[in-house]
Amino acid sequence: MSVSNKLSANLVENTKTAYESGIATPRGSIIAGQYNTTKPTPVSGDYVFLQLGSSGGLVTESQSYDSDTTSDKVFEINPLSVQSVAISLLDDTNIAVATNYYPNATGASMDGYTSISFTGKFIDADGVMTMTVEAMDDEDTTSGDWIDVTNSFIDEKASVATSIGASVTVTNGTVTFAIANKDFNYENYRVKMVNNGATNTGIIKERKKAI
Amino acid sequence: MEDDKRIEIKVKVEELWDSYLIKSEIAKKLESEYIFGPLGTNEHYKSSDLMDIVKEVQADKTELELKE
Repeated sequence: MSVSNKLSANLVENTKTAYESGIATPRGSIIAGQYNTTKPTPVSGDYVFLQLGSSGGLVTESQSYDSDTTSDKVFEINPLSVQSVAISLLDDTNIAVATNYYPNATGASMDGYTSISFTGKFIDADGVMTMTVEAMDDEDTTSGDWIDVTNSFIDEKASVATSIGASVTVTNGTVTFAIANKDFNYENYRVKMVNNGATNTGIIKERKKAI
Repeated sequence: MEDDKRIEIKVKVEELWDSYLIKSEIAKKLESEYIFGPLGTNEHYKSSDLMDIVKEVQADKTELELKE
């Protein structure tokens, strides 16, 4: 008997058995499979039968099935837990006297992210450098009102987590900072840095992540 | 950073080399001393530039050790 004939014969026999045992009322063609207590081990080129479990459910032999645990494997491509981005906003010396915005005056989007942090360093030996964080949900990032939300950031250098306060500021000295907001639910944000001297060092690094 | 300053800083790094186990600390010390003194007054150099010089000294010393 050829392979195809054997397959047809088995299908017919299984269909008949399934019908007679009342498993299903035939509405169109019934395709029945063979119950196997052990998993057959086909080799390349073999025709294989559909395999049913003892409850009548189809035992899949796809790569998503784990026969050891009799469960389907689920893989998440690019899960939220690994979605993060690190950005260097500023790493420069002798920044000209100005009100500077990073990454730019129209800000950056928080779309797809919930948590954000900034670390960095300011050194100014003869002036003042002040950093704040601004946010807004207005889609008009050019003429909308940017709101200072620096107070919502936690000073993670502190032994007890507290707000960083109104700003990160250095006057004639050095300051390093690590501030974070783990539920920064705004559409747009920008970092504002004001310096009144042109001899300075400024470093601001950013990280934001999905969860 | 001007070449002359780069050479000057490289000499300073070599002088401090044996005093520091963690060599990146040399870059931090020089960064501070060029800004607040005594090496300079408000001279700001990028940390990455200073670290490049430290790595250059490290490479020179490794090359010397290999020759020996």
